Amino acid sequence: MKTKVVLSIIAVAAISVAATWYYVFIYSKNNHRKIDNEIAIPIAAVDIVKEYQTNEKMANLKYLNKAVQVTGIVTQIDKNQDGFSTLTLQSQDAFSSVYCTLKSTTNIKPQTVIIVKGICIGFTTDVKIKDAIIIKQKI
Amino acid sequence: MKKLIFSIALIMLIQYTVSAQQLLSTKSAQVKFNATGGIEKIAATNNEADCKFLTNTGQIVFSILIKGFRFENQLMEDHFNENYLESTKFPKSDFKGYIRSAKPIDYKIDGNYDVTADGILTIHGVSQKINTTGKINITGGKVILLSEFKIKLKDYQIAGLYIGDKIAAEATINITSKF
Repeated sequence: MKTKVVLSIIAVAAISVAATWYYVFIYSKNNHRKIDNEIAIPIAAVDIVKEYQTNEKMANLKYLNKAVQVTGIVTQIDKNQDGFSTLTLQSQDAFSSVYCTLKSTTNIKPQTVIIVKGICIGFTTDVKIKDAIIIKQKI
Repeated sequence: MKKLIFSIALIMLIQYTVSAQQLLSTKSAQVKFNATGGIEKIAATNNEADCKFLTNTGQIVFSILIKGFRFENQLMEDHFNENYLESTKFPKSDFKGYIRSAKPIDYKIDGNYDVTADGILTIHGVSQKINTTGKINITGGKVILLSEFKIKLKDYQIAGLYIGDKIAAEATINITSKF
């Protein structure tokens, strides 16, 4: 009886150590944040740009590093130097926009209304979204 | 008649200033850094740097978001953001300065120019004067700006357990800005 208890304690301890080791050294290393299943903050491209232009600090508290789901009109489609597609969504200010880097390439055409989901990484002259995926494309 | 001549002259003058003050800008300049100190590669790429460059004066502005740096290793990316660069507190990094060339650059003709840049680099909320060298490449009217330089992490008050060991005390920065 005693040996059984001791053995099971050892087994549980060994499994938890192995699991912790796996999570810290293997899983965390190779698994990038997946936003597909995260609940995102829904907002229009026009509004998020306006919020950032009005008060960048407050907007950062609200959106920085969070999943956001942005609706807007695509004005430009491009590829960055690593071959990922980028989308520019229109705001009310011609000098500012929402600039999204997609996870994959796309065949979207300009002037279409689109909904993208991604991680907000802040504001330069544009609000920037990384790891974006296309949720919906209206024509 | 006098009015007409005057307005033509004015239009010509405006056109001249417009063409002389050419603003180049991109939202997808690439900034890479490498701070490998040991066996493990510590390097990341950011493809979303803003760059604005006035060709007549050489004035240049780079603006980059720290959370845009991508590592192959997610754990490294998290440590980089949370412990080293504190990117929630300091989301941005920028460089404001001037590009100078010994010989005048003709942006209409293909060529390679060795240039220097000087200005203020802000990382982790700390601003430092820097001087660096770079290249301007003009091919078919397209301008590419290249630079490689080193920064001491200590200068920008970036501290952490592994600096000087697994992480090099100096990081190499690579910039490729295609306009």
